[in-house]
Amino acid sequence: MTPPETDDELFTAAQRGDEEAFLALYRRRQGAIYRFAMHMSGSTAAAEDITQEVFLALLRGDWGYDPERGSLSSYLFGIARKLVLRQLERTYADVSLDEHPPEAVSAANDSAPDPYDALNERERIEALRRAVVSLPRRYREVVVLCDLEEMDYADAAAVLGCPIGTVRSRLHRARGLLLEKLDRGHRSRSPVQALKPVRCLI
Amino acid sequence: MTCEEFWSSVPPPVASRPLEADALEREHLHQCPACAAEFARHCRLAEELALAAGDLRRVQAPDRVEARLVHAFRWQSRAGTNDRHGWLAPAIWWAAAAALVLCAGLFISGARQPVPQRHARPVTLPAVELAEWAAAPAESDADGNPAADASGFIPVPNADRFRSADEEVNLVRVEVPRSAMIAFGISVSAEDASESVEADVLLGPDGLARAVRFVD
Repeated sequence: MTPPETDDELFTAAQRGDEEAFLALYRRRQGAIYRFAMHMSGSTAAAEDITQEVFLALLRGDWGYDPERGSLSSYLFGIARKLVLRQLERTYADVSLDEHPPEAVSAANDSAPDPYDALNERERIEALRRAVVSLPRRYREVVVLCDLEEMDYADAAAVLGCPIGTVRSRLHRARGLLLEKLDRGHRSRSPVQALKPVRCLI
Repeated sequence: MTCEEFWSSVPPPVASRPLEADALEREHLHQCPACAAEFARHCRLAEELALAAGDLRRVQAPDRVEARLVHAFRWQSRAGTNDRHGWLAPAIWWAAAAALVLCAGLFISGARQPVPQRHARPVTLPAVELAEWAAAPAESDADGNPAADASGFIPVPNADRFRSADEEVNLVRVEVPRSAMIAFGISVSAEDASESVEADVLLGPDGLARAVRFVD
Protein backbone atom coordinates (compact mmCIF):
# COMPACT_ATOMS: atom_id res chain seq x y z
CA MET A 1 0.00 0.00 0.00
CA THR A 2 1.40 3.39 -1.02
CA PRO A 3 1.64 5.84 1.88
CA PRO A 4 -0.34 9.06 1.48
CA GLU A 5 1.68 11.81 -0.14
CA THR A 6 -0.18 15.11 -0.13
CA ASP A 7 -1.08 17.16 2.90
CA ASP A 8 -4.75 16.61 2.22
CA GLU A 9 -4.34 12.85 2.05
CA LEU A 10 -2.39 12.87 5.30
CA PHE A 11 -5.01 15.07 6.89
CA THR A 12 -7.84 12.77 5.77
CA ALA A 13 -5.99 9.73 7.09
CA ALA A 14 -5.28 11.52 10.37
CA GLN A 15 -8.96 12.33 10.69
CA ARG A 16 -9.67 8.60 10.44
CA GLY A 17 -7.35 8.05 13.40
CA ASP A 18 -4.12 7.26 11.55
CA GLU A 19 -1.45 8.43 13.98
CA GLU A 20 1.37 7.91 11.50
CA ALA A 21 -0.36 10.17 9.00
CA PHE A 22 -0.81 12.84 11.62
CA LEU A 23 2.83 12.58 12.62
CA ALA A 24 3.95 12.76 9.00
CA LEU A 25 1.84 15.85 8.47
CA TYR A 26 3.15 17.43 11.66
CA ARG A 27 6.78 16.69 10.82
CA ARG A 28 6.32 18.10 7.36
CA ARG A 29 4.80 21.39 8.48
CA GLN A 30 5.90 22.05 12.04
CA GLY A 31 9.22 23.68 11.18
CA ALA A 32 7.74 26.41 9.03
CA ILE A 33 4.95 27.10 11.52
CA TYR A 34 7.40 27.21 14.40
CA ARG A 35 9.80 29.55 12.60
CA PHE A 36 6.97 31.80 11.49
CA ALA A 37 5.70 32.03 15.06
CA MET A 38 9.22 32.57 16.36
CA HIS A 39 9.99 35.40 13.96
CA MET A 40 6.63 37.00 14.49
CA SER A 41 6.56 36.76 18.28
CA GLY A 42 10.29 37.07 18.87
CA SER A 43 10.01 34.32 21.47
CA THR A 44 10.79 30.62 21.23
CA ALA A 45 8.46 29.85 24.13
CA ALA A 46 5.58 31.59 22.40
CA ALA A 47 6.49 29.87 19.13
CA GLU A 48 6.36 26.50 20.88
CA ASP A 49 2.93 27.22 22.33
CA ILE A 50 1.62 28.54 19.04
CA THR A 51 2.90 25.54 17.07
CA GLN A 52 1.23 23.22 19.50
CA GLU A 53 -2.01 25.18 19.38
CA VAL A 54 -2.03 25.21 15.58
CA PHE A 55 -1.91 21.43 15.34
CA LEU A 56 -4.32 20.99 18.22
CA ALA A 57 -6.73 23.24 16.35
CA LEU A 58 -6.24 21.03 13.31
CA LEU A 59 -7.01 17.97 15.44
CA ARG A 60 -10.10 19.52 16.96
CA GLY A 61 -11.29 20.89 13.66
CA ASP A 62 -11.38 24.48 14.88
CA TRP A 63 -11.69 27.02 12.06
CA GLY A 64 -12.76 24.07 9.83
CA TYR A 65 -10.30 23.36 7.08
CA ASP A 66 -11.79 23.48 3.58
CA PRO A 67 -9.44 22.23 0.81
CA GLU A 68 -11.37 24.23 -1.77
CA ARG A 69 -10.51 27.49 -0.06
CA GLY A 70 -6.77 26.98 0.01
CA SER A 71 -3.94 24.63 0.82
CA LEU A 72 -3.50 23.02 4.20
CA SER A 73 -0.20 24.84 4.55
CA SER A 74 -1.92 28.20 4.09
CA TYR A 75 -4.59 27.12 6.54
CA LEU A 76 -1.98 26.25 9.17
CA PHE A 77 -0.16 29.55 8.62
CA GLY A 78 -3.48 31.33 8.89
CA ILE A 79 -4.18 29.79 12.29
CA ALA A 80 -0.62 30.52 13.39
CA ARG A 81 -1.01 34.13 12.32
CA LYS A 82 -4.24 34.52 14.29
CA LEU A 83 -2.59 33.06 17.36
CA VAL A 84 0.47 35.26 16.91
CA LEU A 85 -1.70 38.38 16.65
CA ARG A 86 -3.54 37.31 19.78
CA GLN A 87 -0.22 36.81 21.52
CA LEU A 88 1.07 40.18 20.39
CA GLU A 89 -2.10 41.89 21.60
CA ARG A 90 -1.66 40.25 24.98
CA THR A 91 1.98 41.18 25.38
CA TYR A 92 1.89 44.54 23.60
CA ALA A 93 5.07 43.43 21.92
CA ASP A 94 4.14 44.65 18.50
CA VAL A 95 6.26 47.39 16.99
CA SER A 96 4.40 50.57 16.21
CA LEU A 97 4.19 51.58 12.59
CA ASP A 98 4.93 55.13 13.65
CA GLU A 99 8.43 54.08 14.48
CA HIS A 100 9.13 53.80 10.78
CA PRO A 101 7.54 56.69 8.89
CA PRO A 102 7.48 56.34 5.12
CA GLU A 103 10.22 58.93 4.74
CA ALA A 104 12.60 56.63 6.53
CA VAL A 105 13.25 54.73 3.33
CA SER A 106 15.48 57.08 1.48
CA ALA A 107 16.76 56.84 -2.00
CA ALA A 108 19.93 54.94 -2.51
CA ASN A 109 23.13 56.69 -1.70
CA ASP A 110 25.99 55.51 -3.85
CA SER A 111 28.55 56.67 -1.34
CA ALA A 112 26.91 54.79 1.57
CA PRO A 113 29.05 51.87 2.76
CA ASP A 114 27.60 48.49 2.04
CA PRO A 115 26.69 47.00 5.41
CA TYR A 116 27.37 43.46 4.27
CA ASP A 117 31.02 43.94 3.53
CA ALA A 118 31.91 44.47 7.17
CA LEU A 119 30.25 41.44 8.58
CA ASN A 120 30.92 37.80 8.18
CA GLU A 121 28.15 35.47 7.11
CA ARG A 122 27.09 34.38 10.58
CA GLU A 123 26.95 37.95 11.83
CA ARG A 124 25.06 39.03 8.73
CA ILE A 125 22.44 36.36 9.18
CA GLU A 126 22.06 37.23 12.84
CA ALA A 127 21.84 40.94 12.06
CA LEU A 128 19.29 40.21 9.39
CA ARG A 129 17.24 38.05 11.74
CA ARG A 130 17.23 40.81 14.36
CA ALA A 131 16.24 43.34 11.74
CA VAL A 132 13.36 41.14 10.58
CA VAL A 133 12.07 40.68 14.11
CA SER A 134 12.16 44.44 14.66
CA LEU A 135 10.08 45.18 11.56
CA PRO A 136 6.51 46.38 12.02
CA ARG A 137 4.18 43.42 12.11
CA ARG A 138 2.60 43.83 8.65
CA TYR A 139 6.03 43.99 7.00
CA ARG A 140 7.56 41.34 9.21
CA GLU A 141 4.98 38.74 8.30
CA VAL A 142 5.38 39.26 4.58
CA VAL A 143 9.18 38.96 4.83
CA VAL A 144 8.91 35.84 6.96
CA LEU A 145 6.42 34.20 4.62
CA CYS A 146 7.85 35.21 1.25
CA ASP A 147 11.55 35.48 1.98
CA LEU A 148 12.34 33.22 4.90
CA GLU A 149 9.73 30.53 4.20
CA GLU A 150 9.87 31.10 0.44
CA MET A 151 6.12 31.04 0.07
CA ASP A 152 4.80 32.30 -3.27
CA TYR A 153 2.83 35.53 -3.35
CA ALA A 154 -0.50 33.84 -3.99
CA ASP A 155 -0.21 31.64 -0.89
CA ALA A 156 1.06 34.54 1.17
CA ALA A 157 -1.90 36.61 0.00
CA ALA A 158 -4.23 33.79 1.07
CA VAL A 159 -2.62 33.62 4.51
CA LEU A 160 -2.66 37.37 4.99
CA GLY A 161 -6.09 37.83 3.46
CA CYS A 162 -5.01 40.54 1.05
CA PRO A 163 -4.45 40.89 -2.72
CA ILE A 164 -1.20 39.72 -4.30
CA GLY A 165 -0.35 43.29 -5.25
CA THR A 166 -0.46 44.25 -1.58
CA VAL A 167 1.95 41.43 -0.77
CA ARG A 168 4.35 42.70 -3.40
CA SER A 169 4.20 46.31 -2.29
CA ARG A 170 4.61 45.37 1.35
CA LEU A 171 7.58 43.21 0.46
CA HIS A 172 9.25 46.10 -1.36
CA ARG A 173 8.59 48.34 1.59
CA ALA A 174 9.77 45.73 4.07
CA ARG A 175 13.03 45.23 2.22
CA GLY A 176 13.60 48.94 2.13
CA LEU A 177 13.12 49.06 5.90
CA LEU A 178 15.43 46.10 6.34
CA LEU A 179 18.18 47.81 4.35
CA GLU A 180 17.66 50.92 6.42
CA LYS A 181 17.96 49.00 9.67
CA LEU A 182 21.01 47.07 8.53
CA ASP A 183 22.62 50.30 7.40
CA ARG A 184 21.94 51.92 10.77
CA GLY A 185 23.24 48.87 12.54
CA HIS A 186 26.42 48.94 10.52
CA ARG A 187 27.02 52.64 11.22
CA SER A 188 26.54 52.08 14.94
CA ARG A 189 29.23 49.42 14.79
CA SER A 190 31.81 51.66 13.09
CA PRO A 191 35.38 51.20 14.40
CA VAL A 192 35.50 54.56 16.17
CA GLN A 193 32.25 53.94 18.01
CA ALA A 194 33.35 50.48 18.93
CA LEU A 195 36.29 51.86 20.95
CA LYS A 196 35.60 52.18 24.63
CA PRO A 197 37.51 54.61 26.88
CA VAL A 198 39.46 52.79 29.52
CA ARG A 199 41.01 55.64 31.45
CA CYS A 200 40.79 59.41 31.35
CA LEU A 201 44.31 60.88 31.40
CA ILE A 202 43.41 64.56 31.55
CA MET B 1 8.79 55.45 -16.63
CA THR B 2 9.35 57.38 -13.41
CA CYS B 3 11.15 56.02 -10.36
CA GLU B 4 7.87 55.75 -8.49
CA GLU B 5 6.28 53.81 -11.33
CA PHE B 6 9.31 51.56 -11.47
CA TRP B 7 9.16 50.65 -7.78
CA SER B 8 5.43 50.09 -7.87
CA SER B 9 5.59 47.76 -10.86
CA VAL B 10 8.84 45.83 -10.58
CA PRO B 11 8.49 42.60 -8.59
CA PRO B 12 10.69 42.19 -5.53
CA PRO B 13 13.85 40.38 -6.60
CA VAL B 14 14.14 36.77 -5.63
CA ALA B 15 17.51 35.15 -5.02
CA SER B 16 18.81 32.82 -7.71
CA ARG B 17 15.87 33.61 -9.91
CA PRO B 18 15.99 35.87 -12.98
CA LEU B 19 14.39 39.25 -12.58
CA GLU B 20 10.83 39.24 -13.89
CA ALA B 21 11.03 42.80 -15.16
CA ASP B 22 9.53 43.92 -18.42
CA ALA B 23 11.26 46.03 -21.07
CA LEU B 24 10.20 49.35 -19.57
CA GLU B 25 11.52 48.45 -16.14
CA ARG B 26 14.83 47.26 -17.56
CA GLU B 27 15.13 50.45 -19.54
CA HIS B 28 14.51 52.51 -16.38
CA LEU B 29 17.24 50.59 -14.58
CA HIS B 30 19.66 51.46 -17.36
CA GLN B 31 18.67 55.12 -17.34
CA CYS B 32 18.44 55.75 -13.55
CA PRO B 33 21.66 55.00 -11.61
CA ALA B 34 19.95 55.66 -8.23
CA CYS B 35 17.23 53.11 -8.87
CA ALA B 36 19.78 50.71 -10.32
CA ALA B 37 21.93 50.99 -7.19
CA GLU B 38 18.97 50.64 -4.90
CA PHE B 39 17.70 47.70 -6.87
CA ALA B 40 21.13 46.09 -6.68
CA ARG B 41 21.01 46.46 -2.90
CA HIS B 42 17.58 44.81 -2.93
CA CYS B 43 19.00 41.96 -4.97
CA ARG B 44 21.81 41.47 -2.49
CA LEU B 45 19.35 41.60 0.35
CA ALA B 46 17.26 38.93 -1.38
CA GLU B 47 20.36 36.75 -1.56
CA GLU B 48 21.08 37.35 2.11
CA LEU B 49 17.51 36.51 2.97
CA ALA B 50 17.76 33.29 0.98
CA LEU B 51 20.95 32.49 2.86
CA ALA B 52 19.23 33.20 6.16
CA ALA B 53 16.24 31.10 5.11
CA GLY B 54 18.52 28.17 4.42
CA ASP B 55 20.26 28.64 7.73
CA LEU B 56 17.03 29.01 9.69
CA ARG B 57 15.47 25.98 8.02
CA ARG B 58 17.25 23.84 10.60
CA VAL B 59 15.20 25.46 13.34
CA GLN B 60 12.44 23.08 14.35
CA ALA B 61 9.90 22.90 17.13
CA PRO B 62 11.18 21.04 20.21
CA ASP B 63 10.46 17.32 20.40
CA ARG B 64 8.23 17.82 23.42
CA VAL B 65 5.66 19.55 21.20
CA GLU B 66 5.42 16.41 19.08
CA ALA B 67 5.12 14.25 22.18
CA ARG B 68 2.30 16.40 23.55
CA LEU B 69 0.49 16.36 20.22
CA VAL B 70 0.78 12.58 19.93
CA HIS B 71 -0.68 12.31 23.40
CA ALA B 72 -3.53 14.64 22.40
CA PHE B 73 -4.07 12.70 19.17
CA ARG B 74 -4.36 9.40 21.03
CA TRP B 75 -6.71 10.91 23.57
CA GLN B 76 -8.86 12.34 20.81
CA SER B 77 -8.83 9.03 18.94
CA ARG B 78 -10.07 7.24 22.04
CA ALA B 79 -12.75 9.87 22.50
CA GLY B 80 -13.69 9.43 18.84
CA THR B 81 -13.96 5.67 19.30
CA ASN B 82 -16.20 6.23 22.27
CA ASP B 83 -18.32 8.54 20.17
CA ARG B 84 -18.72 5.85 17.52
CA HIS B 85 -20.08 3.51 20.20
CA GLY B 86 -21.99 6.30 21.83
CA TRP B 87 -25.08 4.20 22.43
CA LEU B 88 -23.12 1.81 24.64
CA ALA B 89 -22.14 4.24 27.36
CA PRO B 90 -25.69 5.51 28.12
CA ALA B 91 -26.96 1.91 28.07
CA ILE B 92 -24.34 0.91 30.61
CA TRP B 93 -25.15 3.90 32.75
CA TRP B 94 -28.88 3.19 32.66
CA ALA B 95 -28.33 -0.46 33.48
CA ALA B 96 -26.10 0.46 36.40
CA ALA B 97 -28.64 2.99 37.66
CA ALA B 98 -31.48 0.46 37.39
CA ALA B 99 -29.45 -2.12 39.29
CA LEU B 100 -28.66 0.43 41.95
CA VAL B 101 -32.31 1.38 42.37
CA LEU B 102 -33.28 -2.28 42.56
CA CYS B 103 -30.69 -2.97 45.23
CA ALA B 104 -31.77 0.07 47.21
CA GLY B 105 -35.41 -1.02 46.97
CA LEU B 106 -34.59 -4.52 48.15
CA PHE B 107 -32.53 -3.15 50.99
CA ILE B 108 -35.27 -0.78 52.13
CA SER B 109 -38.04 -3.34 51.86
CA GLY B 110 -35.84 -5.83 53.68
CA ALA B 111 -35.25 -3.35 56.45
CA ARG B 112 -38.97 -2.74 56.82
CA GLN B 113 -39.88 -6.42 57.08
CA PRO B 114 -40.82 -7.29 60.65
CA VAL B 115 -37.86 -8.84 62.33
CA PRO B 116 -38.84 -12.05 64.05
CA GLN B 117 -39.34 -11.09 67.65
CA ARG B 118 -36.80 -13.02 69.52
CA HIS B 119 -37.88 -11.36 72.71
CA ALA B 120 -41.61 -11.83 72.33
CA ARG B 121 -43.46 -15.06 71.88
CA PRO B 122 -47.02 -15.86 72.64
CA VAL B 123 -47.66 -17.82 75.75
CA THR B 124 -50.77 -19.87 76.23
CA LEU B 125 -52.46 -19.05 79.48
CA PRO B 126 -55.65 -20.69 80.59
CA ALA B 127 -58.60 -18.56 79.62
CA VAL B 128 -59.98 -18.91 83.13
CA GLU B 129 -56.81 -17.45 84.63
CA LEU B 130 -56.97 -14.46 82.29
CA ALA B 131 -60.62 -13.96 83.01
CA GLU B 132 -59.93 -14.05 86.75
CA TRP B 133 -57.14 -11.53 86.39
CA ALA B 134 -59.34 -9.24 84.35
CA ALA B 135 -62.09 -9.42 86.90
CA ALA B 136 -59.86 -8.96 89.96
CA PRO B 137 -59.34 -5.41 91.25
CA ALA B 138 -55.85 -4.02 91.36
CA GLU B 139 -54.12 -4.13 94.74
CA SER B 140 -51.35 -2.08 96.26
CA ASP B 141 -48.68 -2.88 98.82
CA ALA B 142 -47.80 -0.82 101.88
CA ASP B 143 -45.62 1.54 99.82
CA GLY B 144 -48.37 2.21 97.34
CA ASN B 145 -46.77 0.09 94.69
CA PRO B 146 -49.02 -2.23 92.82
CA ALA B 147 -48.92 -5.69 94.40
CA ALA B 148 -48.69 -8.91 92.51
CA ASP B 149 -51.81 -10.99 92.46
CA ALA B 150 -52.10 -14.73 92.89
CA SER B 151 -51.04 -15.40 89.35
CA GLY B 152 -47.90 -13.28 89.83
CA PHE B 153 -48.98 -10.43 87.57
CA ILE B 154 -48.08 -6.98 88.71
CA PRO B 155 -50.45 -4.35 87.41
CA VAL B 156 -48.82 -1.61 85.38
CA PRO B 157 -49.20 1.70 87.23
CA ASN B 158 -52.20 3.73 86.07
CA ALA B 159 -53.33 0.91 83.82
CA ASP B 160 -56.55 0.64 85.82
CA ARG B 161 -57.86 3.73 84.14
CA PHE B 162 -58.04 1.89 80.84
CA ARG B 163 -59.13 -1.41 82.31
CA SER B 164 -62.75 -2.48 82.08
CA ALA B 165 -64.23 -5.46 83.82
CA ASP B 166 -65.05 -7.46 80.75
CA GLU B 167 -62.11 -6.58 78.54
CA GLU B 168 -60.21 -9.27 76.76
CA VAL B 169 -56.50 -9.36 77.31
CA ASN B 170 -53.66 -10.96 75.39
CA LEU B 171 -50.58 -12.42 76.89
CA VAL B 172 -47.17 -11.88 75.32
CA ARG B 173 -43.86 -13.14 76.64
CA VAL B 174 -41.01 -10.72 76.16
CA GLU B 175 -37.43 -10.38 77.21
CA VAL B 176 -36.63 -7.15 78.98
CA PRO B 177 -33.62 -5.80 80.88
CA ARG B 178 -33.73 -6.80 84.50
CA SER B 179 -33.51 -3.10 85.36
CA ALA B 180 -37.14 -2.82 84.13
CA MET B 181 -38.17 -4.64 87.30
CA ILE B 182 -37.22 -1.59 89.37
CA ALA B 183 -40.26 0.26 88.00
CA PHE B 184 -42.44 -2.41 89.63
CA GLY B 185 -40.80 -2.12 93.06
CA ILE B 186 -38.56 -5.11 92.70
CA SER B 187 -35.01 -4.53 93.83
CA VAL B 188 -32.29 -5.27 91.32
CA SER B 189 -28.60 -5.33 92.08
CA ALA B 190 -26.35 -3.17 89.99
CA GLU B 191 -24.45 -6.21 88.73
CA ASP B 192 -27.61 -7.85 87.39
CA ALA B 193 -29.18 -4.71 85.98
CA SER B 194 -27.86 -5.30 82.50
CA GLU B 195 -29.07 -8.90 82.32
CA SER B 196 -32.20 -9.87 80.51
CA VAL B 197 -35.22 -11.38 82.13
CA GLU B 198 -38.31 -12.92 80.60
CA ALA B 199 -41.65 -11.40 81.40
CA ASP B 200 -45.29 -12.09 80.54
CA VAL B 201 -47.11 -8.95 79.57
CA LEU B 202 -50.89 -8.69 79.55
CA LEU B 203 -51.97 -6.40 76.74
CA GLY B 204 -55.38 -4.86 76.62
CA PRO B 205 -57.41 -4.56 73.40
CA ASP B 206 -55.97 -1.04 73.00
CA GLY B 207 -52.45 -2.49 72.87
CA LEU B 208 -51.42 -1.03 76.22
CA ALA B 209 -49.86 -3.22 78.88
CA ARG B 210 -52.09 -3.99 81.83
CA ALA B 211 -49.83 -6.15 83.93
CA VAL B 212 -46.45 -7.79 83.90
CA ARG B 213 -45.22 -11.01 85.38
CA PHE B 214 -41.52 -11.66 85.59
CA VAL B 215 -40.87 -15.28 84.83
CA ASP B 216 -37.49 -15.71 86.52
